[in-house]
Amino acid sequence: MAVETMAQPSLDINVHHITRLEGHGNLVINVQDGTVEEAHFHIIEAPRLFEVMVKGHSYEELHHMTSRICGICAVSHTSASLQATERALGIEISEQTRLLRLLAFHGEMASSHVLHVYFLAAPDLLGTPSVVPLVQTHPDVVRRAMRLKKLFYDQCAVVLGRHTHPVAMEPGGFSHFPTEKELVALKERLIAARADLEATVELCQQLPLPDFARETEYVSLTDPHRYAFYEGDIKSSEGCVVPPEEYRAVTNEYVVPHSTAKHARWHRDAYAVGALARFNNNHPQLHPKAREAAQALGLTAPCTNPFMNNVAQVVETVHCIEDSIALIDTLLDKGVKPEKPVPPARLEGDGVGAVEAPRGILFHHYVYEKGHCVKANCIIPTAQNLGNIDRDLRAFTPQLMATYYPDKETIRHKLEMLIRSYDPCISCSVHLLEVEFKEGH
Amino acid sequence: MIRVLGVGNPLMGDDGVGIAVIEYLWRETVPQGVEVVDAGTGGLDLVHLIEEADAAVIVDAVEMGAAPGTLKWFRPQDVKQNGELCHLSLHETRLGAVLQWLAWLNIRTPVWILGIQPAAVRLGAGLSLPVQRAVPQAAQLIHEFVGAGVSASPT
Repeated sequence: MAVETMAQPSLDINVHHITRLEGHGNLVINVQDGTVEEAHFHIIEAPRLFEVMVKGHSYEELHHMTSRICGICAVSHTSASLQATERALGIEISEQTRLLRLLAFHGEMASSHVLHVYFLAAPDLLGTPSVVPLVQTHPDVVRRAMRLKKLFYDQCAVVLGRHTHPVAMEPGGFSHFPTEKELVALKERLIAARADLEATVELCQQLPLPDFARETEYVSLTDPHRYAFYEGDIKSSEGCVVPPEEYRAVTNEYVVPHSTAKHARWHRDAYAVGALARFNNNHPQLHPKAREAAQALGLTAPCTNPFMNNVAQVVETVHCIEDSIALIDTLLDKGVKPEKPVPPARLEGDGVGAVEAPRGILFHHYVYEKGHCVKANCIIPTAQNLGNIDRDLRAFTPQLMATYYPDKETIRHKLEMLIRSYDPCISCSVHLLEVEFKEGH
Repeated sequence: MIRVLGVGNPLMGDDGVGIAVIEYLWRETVPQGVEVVDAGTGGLDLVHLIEEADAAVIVDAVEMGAAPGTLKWFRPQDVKQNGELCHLSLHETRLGAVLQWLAWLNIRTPVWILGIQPAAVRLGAGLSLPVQRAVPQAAQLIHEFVGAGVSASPT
């Protein structure tokens, strides 16, 4: 009997303009005779160029400039920037400042997570091309998402005096303080939002997540006092903790031929940052209600399925609500006083700020001379995730081909879903509206 | 309450013109009964800012294929919507998507857009000369517009 040799499958995916911005966010997959030859996700990193812009500016200006790097992560960039400045110039913030920053941080974290879970992950998992059809088919879901988003957006506004781009945060303190009435009203809304969060957990339970797992290193901040968002040392799932000042030994950035963005590696050839990394490293410190949500959603540490990042985001959102309520209680007990910002102890110095932005650990590093920045470095979470995304793509592609080949569209869609699970920060610095007018206008 | 919302990123050259107009209004005079907001690049946050207002004026750099510094009033319904939405990342939720969201969520706040044609949108602070010149003109147009009452269509 003649034996027929099956040809090994080949696949070529080259998606440009995924983000509708030329040169940003391209996906390239090349499989030749069953072997994955190329699996890359490309971005252009704006913060690299940004480092040049901040040089020469005063310590009083840097955080305002950095808040503009990203409209969604403005509190994170501002916080990392302020930490770097405060450490460089010997500024010790008060306990009240720390509490207010933690509260604002929770607002941004939860707002970003809600957007990601409802508007990017859910449509994929419910099988719609975007959130748009959900407006028709699941209007209650979309309304709930907007209601939660509005709450967290208002939380930032109560603490920071305005919504996007937090001008009230300053080196050493704040220029705006929430009133007792505002804090009480916010607390009541947070308590009322528990029902929406329970519904979110229920929705998330119904979402079919792709069955894919790949062991990797998880890197996040860690803080002995709380589940780390705003500050802490750098922790690896490989069992190692170092202070923020040693961030270069963590990121070990290197250039890859296919990307203008540098990649990062620590103990392995790549590492992951973000909600899943934080959960894996620090889950015992989550609020009990958040741990209950994790259990209900089947999330247990260590989890190596990158799609579970969406679930970890929901769990963290529960934590944000519960911890915000506790923070407000503490602030109300102590009473918020209009403190003056702590002035710098010196005008020369070198400082590193490290925070957990919604998408993962974010570093700002400044050197000051005479109160002006002479050197700056900024490493965003997405840049740290790039190497890990590429390795996930490389591992996931053969699994998809075994199931879906030759259905290239389904394979491409699943690969894009994988990228979306990281919610990469791609084009945060440009938002230009391009219009074409209707005839006669 | 009428909200005037400046949108854009001052770190990206002429993309920051919306914010420059807001800062100009703060420096000079804010029209009575009007709240002037630096909305930056908050994306979907704009939906909330518009929803809470009785009427909204958005000032933004808009690529209209016109000469740099050209000012043009228009309504969301005057432009072709391509039906696309943020696809891969929430960071690309731009004004076009926000305008679509208003329609999808049935938010009836009347919205006017004062578009300003940029010369260059690239990393670097500062506006180009023609766009700089358009800033006081834009502020003047906003004063005239809100002074006339927003029910009147701007010319």
